[in-house]
Amino acid sequence: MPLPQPPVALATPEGALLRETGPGSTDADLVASTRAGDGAAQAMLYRRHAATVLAVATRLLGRHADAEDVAQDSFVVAFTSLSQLRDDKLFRAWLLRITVHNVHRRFRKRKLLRKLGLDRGEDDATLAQQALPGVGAEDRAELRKLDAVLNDMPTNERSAWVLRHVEGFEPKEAADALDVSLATIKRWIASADARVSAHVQLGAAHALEKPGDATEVSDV
Amino acid sequence: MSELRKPLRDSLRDPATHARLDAVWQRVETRVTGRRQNEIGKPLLIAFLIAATAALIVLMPKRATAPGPIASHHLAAPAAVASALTLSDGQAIAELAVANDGAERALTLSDGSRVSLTPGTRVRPLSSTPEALVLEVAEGRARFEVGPQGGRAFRVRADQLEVSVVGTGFSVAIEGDQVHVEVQHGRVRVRGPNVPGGEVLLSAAQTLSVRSARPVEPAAAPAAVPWPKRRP
Repeated sequence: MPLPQPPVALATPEGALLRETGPGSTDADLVASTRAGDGAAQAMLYRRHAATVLAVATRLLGRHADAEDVAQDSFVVAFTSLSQLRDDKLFRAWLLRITVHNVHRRFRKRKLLRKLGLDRGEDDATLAQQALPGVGAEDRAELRKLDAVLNDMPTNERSAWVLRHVEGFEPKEAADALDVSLATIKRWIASADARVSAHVQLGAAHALEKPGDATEVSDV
Repeated sequence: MSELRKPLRDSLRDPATHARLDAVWQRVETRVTGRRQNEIGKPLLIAFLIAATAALIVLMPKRATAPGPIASHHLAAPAAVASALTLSDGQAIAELAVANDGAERALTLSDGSRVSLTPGTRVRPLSSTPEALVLEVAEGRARFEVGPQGGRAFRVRADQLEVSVVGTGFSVAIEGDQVHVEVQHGRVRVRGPNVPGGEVLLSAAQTLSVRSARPVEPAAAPAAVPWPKRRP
């Protein structure tokens, strides 16, 4: 069945309209409706967060097929485990945590397959391959170097750096997704920054994270 | 120094294309629906196994000690089965209709449930057994006040929609190329090919309107509706 259109579009003769589940609904409203069996609310939650989940999985894994599998698994786990979500308002953070957890599992599987010589996957969504047409040859070369540096990085630092500097997450949201404290995420990002800047020259819109910056330390 | 600026996604293609998002959604929906059906099926299987085991425990010793025909009092009494619904005067439920120029008509069924038909409405029974009453709203608007049915299912169909009832008041209407289900009180489950997600649970004061399957028109292309912008 195709993904139902949002109610704004469904208010036409071609579609269906379920009132009270509109784009203005909060995640908490939609989670409650999904628990009660409302398929439209579930579709709305997917529509709202799928792009972020798929982008995060693709940036981290560098492969479209793997990223689609992870996005699929993450939504299935989320939709079938909603009873475990303690605060409905935190659906997005919880979903991203599931996503990153699934990505890390995929990394471990890939590592094992590589050791056994069985990894047949193709990296078809690296940063260099995903560069927009307007990106120059020099910058593409920098992106290739960046891909190589990220590949050699510990998984946690790589994920922290990608969430922060590729996808533009705030440190708190990246910390939530990786299920660590703000201090830890800043330390990982700073460490990753040091590795990246040793090989790649990037302009910095974000201030570099320094471990000492963490004035607020909380376990998420 | 490179021209690249953080966040780098501003210099990268968005991997979340409509086609990929829709493809993932198809697989998510299939798996989530499958799991729910398994969750529903497991308790039924367990209940069946428990009942079968209990039946074996009851019947086996008697067979060992008293061979021959089993006396009727050794058999479990048949479960109480509700009788098929009729009209309140005992007549079988036949096609109910009110002409366009007629007056609104209200009928009471044998269990006290009520069906009200507005002018220009035709309702016909598709099935009436002790296990289920299935009515079809062929045209017009009908309102239902349904009491608890015990083990009997009470379902109303309209076009390709099916509304399953558990003690509730609701109306079903066919207007042009739209089918409307409105719940006054209680809850109903609505299934159909044009229902978002295939099935929704409607509560009091909620209305579901779906396109009728009768005029065959292609559905709106999903890509026509923009996906929400990503955060951050």
